[in-house]
Amino acid sequence: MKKTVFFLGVIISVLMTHLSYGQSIRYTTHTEAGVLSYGSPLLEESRFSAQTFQGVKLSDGLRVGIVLGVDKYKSYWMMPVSAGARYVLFPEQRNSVFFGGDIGYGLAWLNKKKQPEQSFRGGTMISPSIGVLFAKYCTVTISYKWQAFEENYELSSNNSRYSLIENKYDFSRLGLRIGLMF
Amino acid sequence: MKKLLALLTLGFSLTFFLACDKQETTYSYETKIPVFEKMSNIRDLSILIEDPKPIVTSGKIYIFKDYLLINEPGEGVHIYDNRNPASPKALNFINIPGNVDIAINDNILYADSYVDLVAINITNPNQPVLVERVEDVFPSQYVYDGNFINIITSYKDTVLTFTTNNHRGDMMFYDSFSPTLSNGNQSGGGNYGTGGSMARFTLSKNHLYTVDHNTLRLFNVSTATKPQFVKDILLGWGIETIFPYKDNLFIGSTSGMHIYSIKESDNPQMLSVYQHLTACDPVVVNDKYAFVTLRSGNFCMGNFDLLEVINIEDLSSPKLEKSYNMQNPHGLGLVGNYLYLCEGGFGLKSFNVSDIMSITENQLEHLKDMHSVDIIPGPKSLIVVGNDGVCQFDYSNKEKLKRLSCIPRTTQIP
Repeated sequence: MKKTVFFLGVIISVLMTHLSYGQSIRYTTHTEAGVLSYGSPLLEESRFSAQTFQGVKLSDGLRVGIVLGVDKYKSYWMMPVSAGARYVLFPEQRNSVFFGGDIGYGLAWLNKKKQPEQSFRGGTMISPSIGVLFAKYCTVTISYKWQAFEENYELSSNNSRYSLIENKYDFSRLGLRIGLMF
Repeated sequence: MKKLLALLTLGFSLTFFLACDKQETTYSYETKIPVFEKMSNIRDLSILIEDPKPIVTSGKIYIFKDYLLINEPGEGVHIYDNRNPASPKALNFINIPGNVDIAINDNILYADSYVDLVAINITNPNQPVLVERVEDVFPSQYVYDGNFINIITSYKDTVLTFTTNNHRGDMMFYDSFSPTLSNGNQSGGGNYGTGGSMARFTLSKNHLYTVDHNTLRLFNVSTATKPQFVKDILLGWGIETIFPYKDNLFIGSTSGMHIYSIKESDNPQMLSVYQHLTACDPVVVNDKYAFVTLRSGNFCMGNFDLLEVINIEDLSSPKLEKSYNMQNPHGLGLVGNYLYLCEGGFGLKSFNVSDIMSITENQLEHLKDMHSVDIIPGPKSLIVVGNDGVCQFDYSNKEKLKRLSCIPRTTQIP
């Protein structure tokens, strides 16, 4: 969570610096939905993924902002909150390749406990991406997403001895999404 | 445009190699692990006499002549001058490492010391003398994997941790089932023994009979100072108590009562096994009946708190006469037609059992504040072990107990 706050701070600082030069703010958004999968085979372990990027244009090609999403891994839900950037290679053209990068923290609070002793903890999320912007607003994105996640069970037996199971997951996924970018 | 597509294809290809899952699972659990010690080192320690010291955890109690002996589990035996039960006087403490059970025959104290049986002359209780040691006869909970050289002397609490790593297809996702790690003691310590079910000693017809959790073990003590191992008889699991009566041994187990004839004292013959519900069960008997208590609890398993009266007129075919609900019955003592029953935290009860079909209707007293787990009706006093320590009652009037004294203990019975 501290990392998220840190990166948000960086984004805000960049924006403030940008504004201090007197340029007008140009808002931008990039909202996408798709799947996360192992990638090989292509749709193995496919789960839902969606995110929205809300930010500003620092130049015609470069956009920075905050990304809020929701992803499913196996049976676990994550809500990544991250700082993100998009760079459209040829902004003056109707079709272009663009690059993206998000880094932040995946919140685990969407998961419901199935046992009283169960607990979840989110973790760092990193997602570089590459995509195609076509017809001026439409996008197809391929991304790599790495998400840390922890699930713990603390158990006590009849005579009060305790046992603990800590599962630390590093989810690595291929993301395929379509969306709109303005 | 072709360059753009090439870049896109490259990025797409890279993700094929990156996409996977890693799972690191760390299991941590609290358990008991055995502490080993060389038996030769223990034997080298001479049986030491020590000044009287407070009772920490009273174990078995034993009366002999005017002496009251109280076992300090794993440590040794407190000896009290009990000529006046209203004021027992601590004489000394005999240091016997690994001691749990005791019996006395002609001033010779028999005691287990881990895997050994020791015979100690206590003619002068202030100068006990070790007269014999029979080695390696009580493997029970002390020997692991047949090793009599390094024995288990205790267990210590430990948190064990181990980690497993899985990738992708091997991953275990616990949301699909409920994890049920056992604590081992069962845990806790895997296959290293479960505690409890410790050996019991009794003397009859020139033989010392001992039981541990699955074995009846005989020693010929016709020469008191030279106990000689005779043989083992395998009884089955859950053996707890042994009670001699005339030519028979009544052996209580968690699943029933074994009756053995000792007409041939060195060759006990099984007469019958009376099966009952799974529970702990001390036994006392008279000519016609055996009184058995069944107790529930973690260690004792089962969920029954009963007093059973079993007709043993035909020893080869014991029959249940009647069963009474109790609260948490432990040890019991029978004096003529009077039964004294320890109810653990629920106190001490006394009954007139002349009519075995209406025992609870003939309850005489219920001392609710007298936590009690074990009892000996002695010649001078009724001796009761409980959280208050070792207490003695005047029971010259069998229907009205009068407390005489209590030797306190420093820990509580769970």
